[in-house]
Amino acid sequence: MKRVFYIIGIPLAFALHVAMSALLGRGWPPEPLVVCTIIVVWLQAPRVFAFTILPAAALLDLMQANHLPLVIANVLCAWGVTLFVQQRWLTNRSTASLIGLTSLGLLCTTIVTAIILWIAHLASLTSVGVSSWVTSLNLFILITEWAAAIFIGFLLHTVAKLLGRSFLYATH
Amino acid sequence: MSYLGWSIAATLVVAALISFGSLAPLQRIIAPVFAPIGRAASAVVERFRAMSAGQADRATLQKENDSLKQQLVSTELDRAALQQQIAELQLLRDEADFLKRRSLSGISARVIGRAESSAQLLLVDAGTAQGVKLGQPVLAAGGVLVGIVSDVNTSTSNVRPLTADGTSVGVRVDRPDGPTGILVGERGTGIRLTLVPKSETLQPKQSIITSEVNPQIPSGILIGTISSLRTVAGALFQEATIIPTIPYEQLTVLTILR
Repeated sequence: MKRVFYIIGIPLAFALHVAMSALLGRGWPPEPLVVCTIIVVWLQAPRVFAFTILPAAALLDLMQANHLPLVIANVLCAWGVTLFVQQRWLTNRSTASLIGLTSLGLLCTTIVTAIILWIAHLASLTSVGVSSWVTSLNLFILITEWAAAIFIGFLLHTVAKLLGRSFLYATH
Repeated sequence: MSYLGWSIAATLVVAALISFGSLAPLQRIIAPVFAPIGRAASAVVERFRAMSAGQADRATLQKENDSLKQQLVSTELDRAALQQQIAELQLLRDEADFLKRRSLSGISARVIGRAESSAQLLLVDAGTAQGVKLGQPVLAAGGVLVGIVSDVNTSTSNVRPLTADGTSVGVRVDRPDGPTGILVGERGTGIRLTLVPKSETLQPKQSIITSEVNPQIPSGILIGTISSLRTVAGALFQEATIIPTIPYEQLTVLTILR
């Protein structure tokens, strides 16, 4: 059952990313997989992350023509940073920890994107400079991602509470 | 190493290969599978966006429609007022032409009120301040006699239409040597021609004009036409019902002859 979920989850995550890019595609595209990563970390369900989000991120980068693994880098960065912070300080599934992880995860992915673009631009791998990326970076999309992470995370948490924790949370 | 660790390691390898552009053959293999998924997702979003835009357009169109409806009502009111002014101007011009032709002078007045029985009394916005005097004839629509001034105030006057009770005007049929008679009002509803000798010939549709017997009313002013004849056996005179040339309910601008 879980394998079926993972197999279906990959194209679903792929389609979700493409759809969000088409829906909110003003300036720099939104990254719903980063949002999913933060929620998954907060819910402490890393198997979903490993078997659904990571392949979907790899698939997205593979389908893009720019040869920059931005989605993989952002997903791994968001996962690494939020997991580290969560294990050290924000150990519960409270709303405050969700807000903290979301803010931190999105901030780190933004910085990582800037660094990757800067290096790629220096290495002549991309024509997109950091300055033009900052210009096209849309505050609306960042806020939307932030709000979506908190809202969906809290919603899933509530649903999991209602249906029983074993439904959503993985056992480690 | 756990599954998670292997997954991360594999992802990092993929990321590195993507950076070096080494996965182009793999991309050619998976593109036919995932490109349609991406296109379908984009199409769904585009359709959703188009529907949202359609809703927004509909709301905007509804607002514009409401606004245009209000403008249309306003324009219709303006147009009606303008047409009223044009009609009144035409009446005034016709009356001015009539007065000029007959070498008469008059005072223009507007009907500003009516008695409860509208056919019995008209209130006009001219009085002694404008030179109106009691008994002066009142014309409408290019020289048709419609009433007599029955009461005068400083700035308003009452006009008694020819249909009102008590009105009496000397008239004759509009033809050479036409028979004369007296025209009287009938309870505000009609006009009757009386005192026409039976020996005279009256016919329907003959025009009735003022005669020379009225001291304040010039002769030859049109009043109406004969509608029907009333002859009583043994009577000395015959009578006729007169239809006014102008419906008195529609009077708006009048000329009071000096």
